[in-house]
Amino acid sequence: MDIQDENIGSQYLSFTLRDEDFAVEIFKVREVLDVATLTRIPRMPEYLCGVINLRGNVVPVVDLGLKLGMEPVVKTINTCIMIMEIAVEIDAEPVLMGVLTDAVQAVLDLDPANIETVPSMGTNLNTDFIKGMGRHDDKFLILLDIDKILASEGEATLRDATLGAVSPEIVATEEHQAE
Amino acid sequence: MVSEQDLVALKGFIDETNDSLQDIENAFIELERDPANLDIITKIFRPVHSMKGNSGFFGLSHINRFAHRLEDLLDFIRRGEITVDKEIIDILLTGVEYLEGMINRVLDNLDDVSLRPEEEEFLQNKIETCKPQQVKGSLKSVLDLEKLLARGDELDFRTSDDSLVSATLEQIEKCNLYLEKMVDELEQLARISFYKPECSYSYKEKDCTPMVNCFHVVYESLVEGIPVKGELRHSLKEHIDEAQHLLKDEEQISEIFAELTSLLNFIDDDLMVASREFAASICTLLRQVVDHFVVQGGNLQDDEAAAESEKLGKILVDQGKISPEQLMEALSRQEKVGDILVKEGLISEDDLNRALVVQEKQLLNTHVKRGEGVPSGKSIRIDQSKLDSFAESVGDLFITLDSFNFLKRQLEQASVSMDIITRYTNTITTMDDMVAHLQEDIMSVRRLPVQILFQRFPKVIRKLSASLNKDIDFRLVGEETVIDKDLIEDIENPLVHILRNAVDHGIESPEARMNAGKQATGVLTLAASVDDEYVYLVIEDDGSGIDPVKMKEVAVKKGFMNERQVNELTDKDLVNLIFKAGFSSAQKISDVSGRGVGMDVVMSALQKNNGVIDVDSRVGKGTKVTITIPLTRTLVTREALIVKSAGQFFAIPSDKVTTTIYPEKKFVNILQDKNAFAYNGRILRVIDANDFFYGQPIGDTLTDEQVLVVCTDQNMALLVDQVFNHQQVVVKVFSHGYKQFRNIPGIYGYTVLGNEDIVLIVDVDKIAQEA
Repeated sequence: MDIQDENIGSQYLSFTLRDEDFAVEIFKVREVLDVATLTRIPRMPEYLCGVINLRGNVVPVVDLGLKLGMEPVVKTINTCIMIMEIAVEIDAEPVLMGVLTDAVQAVLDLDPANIETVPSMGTNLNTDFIKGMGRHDDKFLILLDIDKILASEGEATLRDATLGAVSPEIVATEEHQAE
Repeated sequence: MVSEQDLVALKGFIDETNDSLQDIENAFIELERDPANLDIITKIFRPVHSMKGNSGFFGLSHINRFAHRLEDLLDFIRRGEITVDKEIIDILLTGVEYLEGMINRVLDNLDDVSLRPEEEEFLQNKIETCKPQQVKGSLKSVLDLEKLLARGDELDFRTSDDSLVSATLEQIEKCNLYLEKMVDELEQLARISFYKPECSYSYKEKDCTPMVNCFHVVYESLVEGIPVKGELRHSLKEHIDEAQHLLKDEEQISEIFAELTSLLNFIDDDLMVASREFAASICTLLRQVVDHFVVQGGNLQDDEAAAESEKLGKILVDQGKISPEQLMEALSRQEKVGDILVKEGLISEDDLNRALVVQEKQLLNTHVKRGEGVPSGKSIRIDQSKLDSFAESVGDLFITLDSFNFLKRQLEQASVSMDIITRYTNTITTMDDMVAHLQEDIMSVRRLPVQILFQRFPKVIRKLSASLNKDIDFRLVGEETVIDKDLIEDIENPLVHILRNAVDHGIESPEARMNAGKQATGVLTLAASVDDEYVYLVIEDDGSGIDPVKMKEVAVKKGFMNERQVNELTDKDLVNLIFKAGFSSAQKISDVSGRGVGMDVVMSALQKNNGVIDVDSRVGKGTKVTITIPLTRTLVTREALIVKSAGQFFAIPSDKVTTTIYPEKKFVNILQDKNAFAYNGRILRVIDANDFFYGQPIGDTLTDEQVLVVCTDQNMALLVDQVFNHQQVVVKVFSHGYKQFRNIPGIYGYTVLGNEDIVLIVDVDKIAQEA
């Protein structure tokens, strides 16, 4: 993926999921909510943990942990729902979707110079769902392509399935090595 | 580049034209059946005419030209010059199709105003050849008269001299005779053509010729004998302009006749006094009549006609005979006939006033007549999505209202004074009424006449029956029935399928019908009606009917049932087998139907709206299909029982719930057995809601709170964890953005409770099918 892509803004919202740092472009995020009453919808994939009533609108909420093929989000006081505008289909009106995450961290300015492409070779990260790797202070953030992740059917695993499952810890290590 | 505003207007024009083309098509088909019906032609004229005008306005010269030619053709029909037959209707329908094509490609390229070769060819070879030769002849003489009028005008102007005002009595007498004769002719024509529309509209050559001759003579004598003063010349001009502007409808002509007659009476009384005014008026009226003919006989070449009818006043101004100021001044000096008469003491003011009242009434009638079928300024076009969003908002209002009730209950529990609670309750009640009213209003706005759908069918049926060589009289009943627009969309496919089936398999060929002792023409009727609860759509044909014996054979042959099962069915059951997927008993498969895929499409479309279909058929007599659909509203409030299962709330529509039962010990065994128990002599299936929705069975032991919600309609009971109250809920369906939620088995939609929680609404019938 070309990081000069105009779709990559310079401001990001960072959040954690299973002790790993992620970020999404800030303009995708409409608002952040505390966990409200979730109504579970029958016969839906497990990662779709329910719908909430957002001022009269029904908004589906996805457990990002499960959606990314990791562990489910465990509800704590920090758990929150990021309401995002998702382009499900090209040219269609964006729809609102909630994303359940462990904790929202901060709004960051990322200089494009601090964003690296995910090499398509020599890594087991699934580049389809990742826009790049952002460096902030001493940490690496995985910049997610949230449109593609949420529009995809089934689990949007970040690890390339053909390379087998890799635990997040290993990825983290690799990132540090890259640094 | 076209401005945004123009584009909006253009799109409006395209929408409108598409609508009117639809009307026109159907009118043609109607006309074919009833060629003598003048009203139909008149109905067609109006939209074609405005299409012609509007396309010119938008610079779409190709559409303008095409519509113009089509209008010409219509005019020949109107005047009885062309007899309506299948061939003509075919040509007209093809013409409309071409127009549709042109309209629809307008937006592709706004600068492309050329006709496609096939369209050009159609104009040249089809439309032009239709025009009868004698019409060209009679129009020619009208045109000659026009020329004469124009030349006469000029002559008259040059020779006008006050000394000639004292024209001889003989000349006027002569003129009077001719005029009387002309009025007789005109009145006769008027009686035939206008007062008795049931007579065929006959501007035949033989009717026209004497009148036209009259015009010639009258005008010549006027030119020779009666001088027309310069200012009257201008009043003539004004009359002409007005006439050209107004003279589109036939009613006008009858007014002219009335005026002509009164002028004649007037001349009898005092010829001398009347002469100038009379001459001017006669000129005006003649011109009006001629204009009428010219306007109606639109096949004069455009430019030729335009040149002929160049405004007299303009000519005069152009020729330098008068200045524009003089023209205006002269116009302002013109007096009304009535005022002159009063001044001359011929009539009293009372007479005049009485006459004016009569005139006003006549005018009023004319306007009323002209107003028919023309959209008044009181209706507006609005975007559907705006309407939907409005309905949506009203729905949300309902939910908010429910929150108030929720708050009220909380207030009651808190230590708030009774007084406040009472006032609070009153406010809620008032608001309740208002919202209900609002809901009713918005729902009525969403209701449209089924005509907008039905009008597409006659063309389809006509085409279909022609391709199958069948003769079908297709009738529509109850087109004015209004139902929700969404429902109209949903019933289109089912209706098309059923109608096709009726044409293809129901109605026999003319020969077969004759052999069976029936009329060669089959009758197919589509009727719509509505009452407080249901919409009824009935499709009835007088064809061969559905043979239960044949249905039996097919059912066995295709493996739907075995011999024994089939024999248990009644004839009616057998006939209703046509709705099974893959079931087609037709002997041969055609393009039209017979593949057995149509009827189950019908079913699924109807199920979406909880519709029921019923077939009644008698061999040799015909088939009657009745569709009954409950009046669904997008904004539906219904009573529902709130239950809890797997930690989630659900709403079960109360009308589906027979009763609720706490399962006692004795049921438990049965439950463990095959999930069934006896209730009121019936065996009811038990469906565990936890299991059905989330795949988590409740387990063997039941708690005290668990309840069986009995739905005897479906012979089932839903086992839930807890049951709460019945309450009104607003039924909502998931928006298009979340399509994945629209087809959840057993879930119809959702509602929002007073505490703002989302609660799913259960579709009991679907659960019974799926479980």
